[in-house]
Amino acid sequence: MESNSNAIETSPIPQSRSSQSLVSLSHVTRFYGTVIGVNDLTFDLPIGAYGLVGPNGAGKSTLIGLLTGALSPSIGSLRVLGKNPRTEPSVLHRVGLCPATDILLPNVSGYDWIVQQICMTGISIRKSRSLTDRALEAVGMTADCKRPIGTYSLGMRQRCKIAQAIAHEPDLLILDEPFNGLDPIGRHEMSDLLRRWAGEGRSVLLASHVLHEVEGITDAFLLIFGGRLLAIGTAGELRGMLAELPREVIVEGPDMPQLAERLVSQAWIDFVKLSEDRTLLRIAAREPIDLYQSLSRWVIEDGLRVTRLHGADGDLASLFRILVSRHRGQMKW
Amino acid sequence: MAILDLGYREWRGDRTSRATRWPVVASSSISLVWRAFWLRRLMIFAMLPTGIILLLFFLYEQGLEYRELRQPVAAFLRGTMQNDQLSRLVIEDPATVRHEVWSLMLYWFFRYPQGVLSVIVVGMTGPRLVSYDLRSRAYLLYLSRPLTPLEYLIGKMAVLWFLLALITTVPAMLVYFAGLLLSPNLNAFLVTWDLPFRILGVTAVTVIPLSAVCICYSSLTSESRFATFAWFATWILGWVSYAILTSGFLMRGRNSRFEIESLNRWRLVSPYHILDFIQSWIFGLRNFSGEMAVALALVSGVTILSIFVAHRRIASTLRK
Amino acid sequence: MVANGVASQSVRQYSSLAKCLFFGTLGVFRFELRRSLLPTRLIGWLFLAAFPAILLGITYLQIDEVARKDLRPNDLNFGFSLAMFLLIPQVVTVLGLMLWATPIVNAELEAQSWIYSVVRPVGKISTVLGKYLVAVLWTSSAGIAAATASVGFTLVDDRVQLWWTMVRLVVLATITYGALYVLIGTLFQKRSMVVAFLYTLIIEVALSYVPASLNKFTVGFRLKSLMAIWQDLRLDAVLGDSNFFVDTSAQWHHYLALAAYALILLGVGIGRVWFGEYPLQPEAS
Repeated sequence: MESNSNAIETSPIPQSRSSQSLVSLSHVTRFYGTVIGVNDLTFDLPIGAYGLVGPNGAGKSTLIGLLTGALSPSIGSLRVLGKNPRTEPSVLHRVGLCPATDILLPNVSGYDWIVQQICMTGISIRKSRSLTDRALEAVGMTADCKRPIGTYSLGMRQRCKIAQAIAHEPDLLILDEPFNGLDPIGRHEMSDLLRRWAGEGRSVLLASHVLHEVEGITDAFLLIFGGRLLAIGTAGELRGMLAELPREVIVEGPDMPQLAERLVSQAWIDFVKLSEDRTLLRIAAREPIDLYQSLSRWVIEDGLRVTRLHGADGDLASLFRILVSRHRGQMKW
Repeated sequence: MAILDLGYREWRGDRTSRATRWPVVASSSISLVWRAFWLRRLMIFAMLPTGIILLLFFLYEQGLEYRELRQPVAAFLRGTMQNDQLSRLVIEDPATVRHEVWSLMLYWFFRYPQGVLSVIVVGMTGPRLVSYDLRSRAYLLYLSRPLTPLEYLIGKMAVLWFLLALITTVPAMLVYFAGLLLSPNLNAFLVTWDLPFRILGVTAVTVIPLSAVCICYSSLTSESRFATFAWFATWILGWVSYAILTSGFLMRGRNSRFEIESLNRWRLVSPYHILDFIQSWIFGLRNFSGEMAVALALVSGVTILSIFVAHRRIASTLRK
Repeated sequence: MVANGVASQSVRQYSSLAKCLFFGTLGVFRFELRRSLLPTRLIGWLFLAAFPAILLGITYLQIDEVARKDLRPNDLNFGFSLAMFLLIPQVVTVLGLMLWATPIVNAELEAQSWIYSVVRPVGKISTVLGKYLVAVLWTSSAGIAAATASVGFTLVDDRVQLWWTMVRLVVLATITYGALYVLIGTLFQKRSMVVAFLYTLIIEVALSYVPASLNKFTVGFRLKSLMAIWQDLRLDAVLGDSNFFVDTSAQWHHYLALAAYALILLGVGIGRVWFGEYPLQPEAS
């Protein structure tokens, strides 16, 4: 994998993945008037399954628009499965997209709509029908597929969207927030379907703002925020990165004043703050690994009672914040 | 408190009065439609005919002092309005026909340029007002507040009232007051004091039916293009029907009773011509007649029916 | 050898895209045709088909015996041909196409389904062509039905001739106006119907009565000229110098002009969707 000149962290994707290029971006920037959708993206992904993770408005949908040829880059170039989707549209035969937007075609049946979609990939109507049947069965929509879409629940519409994306058996399946509107059982079934898909050696790019949903399907992530790629790597690597980063930790228990005394003399401590009731200690450490090792030692040596220990900023948003801070030079590596 | 009460707690604070609720719907919708680039340009374009009418007022008033300026106004009355008698009087003794001339010029303003522009402005904005809410289910956001479907509809209609008033009533009033200021003395007010009320009357008979019908179309579909189509089809078909049924092409040069009789009778099939008929009465250019009563009843009936249908449609979506 | 390999790869690619275009257009056509048969749309079709017949029927009943005896055959031929022309190849086709061809992109954007066409190899072109064909079929069938229902209410000597004239004009009008409205729909996707209405009002209606050379570039001019030729209308007696309003010199000029209009307008419309981009997210109303 090529290194991203702007990404803060790039980690190798597991070796088991094929070396054939799935998507390759070179300094891709997309403007919407004066607004930047994505900013100077450079990366190269081999065949495999990836989660594209970022909060709402991070630029995920713009990136997907660029990869599917719906949008053209304002600056830079990109290739999907070795081809430019704008100038060599035949590559779109091998791509399936399930966008985030809802379908609003109230009076037509999901079945007819999917058959039409499959015909557009150059497949005859008869073959499209059989592919549609198979895709609808895969997403559990066979029973209701002849009803008008207007009578579907949000989850059923979501299944239809996925069925049209997988029916022509693409090599690359791109899904933008596919779990939206699905109930817990639907989410479980969808995860199973996508795991099977990825397990068959086909590629998936799954965009979501919920990390754990993506984790169930793939362990490779692209973190995107503010139109920029912040990091690429596996979940373990990202967590490792988080553990190594300067961070805040909250410790709770009755012996917090004693713990505070221990901490203030350490060189890797930025600040220690004791709550008014003296049972909660907020610690900012530049070397978190040292903090965790020292804490466990002091608990044993001094018999300190700790009832709870948790990160003040352990979620994905905090990881983004930390990565952005590092990227801006506000925080050292 | 029972946990079930949490989502259904009664509001205990002060509420604004009912009369101030629909303007909230209107103002939020106006701010949304006003973002449209084309609408803002069209509204500016729609102001241009005001310049023509203002020039005519200026020429008429100055023509009282300078005889050579009477000619353009006389030509306008003779050519565009086909009123030879008034044209002659403007040349001979213009001061005696001030009320008639001002009325006729304001009537022209409402009927020709602003009449067509009103149809376009409403066609551009109205069809999306309710249909988009139905499509996106935004009406539930409105109606989960203490707002009745009728208040919601009035709020939506008020968007069209605002836009239409901006291109018809406001310029007409400005032209009227400019006419007073352009006249040699303020005696003009004593002769024409009723015209602002007539302008308001014409506005009401134009704006209320137009907005009611358009909102009705908009409420019947969640796909705004069908409402847009229905809106323009209403005017096109009405116009064409009137043109065909009243045209003399079939009896060119012949003395058929059909040609004369049908002219008046078939006005009722065309919204444009029926509104024109009522407007000319309000401006005092036509006497009240049985046919006028039928026209007024028809316009009122269509307006009430449109509001009723739109109300039923919105109320029924709440029951689903 | 390498050059041959590249050439054969290109041929394969183009044949694959041609297949996509064919089956895609067929798929869209089939899908949209089914949608056009929904009850509400059939009511619209019936209304458009019946509207001219109703108007001409009323006119027919209004003309009393005295007037019928007074009217000369040429007056009747002129009057009814013009009325049929105004009502069917102009009003019915324009309204039908405003409903079907003008919102060609807007309907997809409103339904949030445009993105699905965009990510198919030539899905955007298939969508435009498929919808255009349905617009032409739906509208021309309404126009032909209208001509069939109306012709009985005319007082011309040769009703079959008038019907055949109208059928040909309807087909030509839908093909050409359809391409025009498709172009308007692709250029102004948000307010396409308003623009189409304004264009028709200003260029095709108002301008057609102006004795100017520009008049000759309108679709209406070509259609009127063909009607004058096919119905043998002597317009000079009515219009004075009719050269600005019709050109009865040769039919093939008009066929050529209409074909060129349709191809150019449709081509530009397809070019617009192929090279252009539309917003993927709907905007607030």
